[in-house]
Amino acid sequence: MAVCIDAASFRNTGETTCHHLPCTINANGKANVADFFETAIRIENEGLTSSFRGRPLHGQEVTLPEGFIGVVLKEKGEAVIEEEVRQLHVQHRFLKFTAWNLDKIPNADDRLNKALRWISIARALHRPVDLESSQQSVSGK
Amino acid sequence: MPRLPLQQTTGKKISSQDAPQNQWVMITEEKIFDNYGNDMDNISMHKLRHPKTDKATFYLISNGGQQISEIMKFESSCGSWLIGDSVQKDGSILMTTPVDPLFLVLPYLINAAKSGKYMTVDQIVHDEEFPDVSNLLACLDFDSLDYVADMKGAGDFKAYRYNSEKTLSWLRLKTDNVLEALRSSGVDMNESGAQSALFIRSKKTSSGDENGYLKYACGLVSDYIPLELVTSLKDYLGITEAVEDRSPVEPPNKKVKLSENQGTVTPTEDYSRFFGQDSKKQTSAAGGRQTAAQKKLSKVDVRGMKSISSFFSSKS
Repeated sequence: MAVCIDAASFRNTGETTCHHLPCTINANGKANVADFFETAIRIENEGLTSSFRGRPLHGQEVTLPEGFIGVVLKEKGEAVIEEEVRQLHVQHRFLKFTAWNLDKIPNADDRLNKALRWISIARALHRPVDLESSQQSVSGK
Repeated sequence: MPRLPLQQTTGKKISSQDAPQNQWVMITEEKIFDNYGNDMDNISMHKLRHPKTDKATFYLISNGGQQISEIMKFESSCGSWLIGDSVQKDGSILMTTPVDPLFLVLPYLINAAKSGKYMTVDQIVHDEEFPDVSNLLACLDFDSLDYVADMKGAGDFKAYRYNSEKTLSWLRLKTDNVLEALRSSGVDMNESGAQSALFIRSKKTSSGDENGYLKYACGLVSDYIPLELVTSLKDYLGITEAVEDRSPVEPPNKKVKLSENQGTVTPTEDYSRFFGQDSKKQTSAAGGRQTAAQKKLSKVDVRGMKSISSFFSSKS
């Protein structure tokens, strides 16, 4: 069973505004985000503030590292048979999103930020090593 | 409408929240969407054997079948997404980063070497349980096998045999690269930074700082190699266990009691806390009820060997 992402669908998407909320909303589907959430966003000294269901939120705009992009993948239909190839389509793309904390000023320590920092370390870990220096270290450092 | 009677009898409305998840947020390299011919299926996910855990793990293969990336799932206990004018209940993020295919080939090489014979790559990387492993070979630069194996033959017919000495020196270079990245990313990775959740800061030497960085880098590399190789790598890099290392040099550090909320003990810039969350969790859990086996486990020094994969939890 393989999963495929339809790369062509990427080209038909535009950038979408994304917010990561610090609570679980038990629903999937349409919501009037622009009128009922984004209107509450204020820019203050320490960053963005907003509120959701009366709870104070502090936000921070997170820009993805260079060369990286966020996509929202959607599976259309369900694979009925185990062997069937599952198709995912790109619905939206984003280069930045707003990460919201509950009543806490966001900082570099936030878990979302830290996950993004892994990218530069992963790059170093997985790029091919230099062959000549490899042989040097075999033959006596 | 055949479903209607069912809804009425159970009295439960079937709403969208009961449906299986069909939408995900993923952070990935933009270049995977570059056009590589007209093949619509040029980005795909395949189950392969994880080089460390040996378990089935999804990898993303892209760019004309030549690049392989690992997929990490990042999620917190609660969270949801607002995407455009919609809500997505699942607040997790999938993140893909390229992975060196040689790491995934290595366990096969090690296994094949048990026969002592030189074999072709097709013979070595063969897995009935994971037939998709054939996709892995398209990502592999065969010249790179020279880092980890001896080669015989020429032209179209080349046979390889695992070489542990070469592999360790290759892993040393990997560790060096990670070290460099850790330093330049400004990660506070001295001994006190790495262990401040457990020990009150006392005088540290610069060599102690070096050791902290090295152990951390080694720990990250160790997430991609079989367990038996981790021990050899630690020896090879001269990594000493922190417990044996520090006690003769310094007076015993006063141990800070690990509270339930570790955030109160750790400094705000402690990068290690993030990656090491799982291993610390084990330590704090061990403080409560312990079985004999857990006690034994808790004695294993894992502080320098933070596992990033443990933080990202299950790879899907």
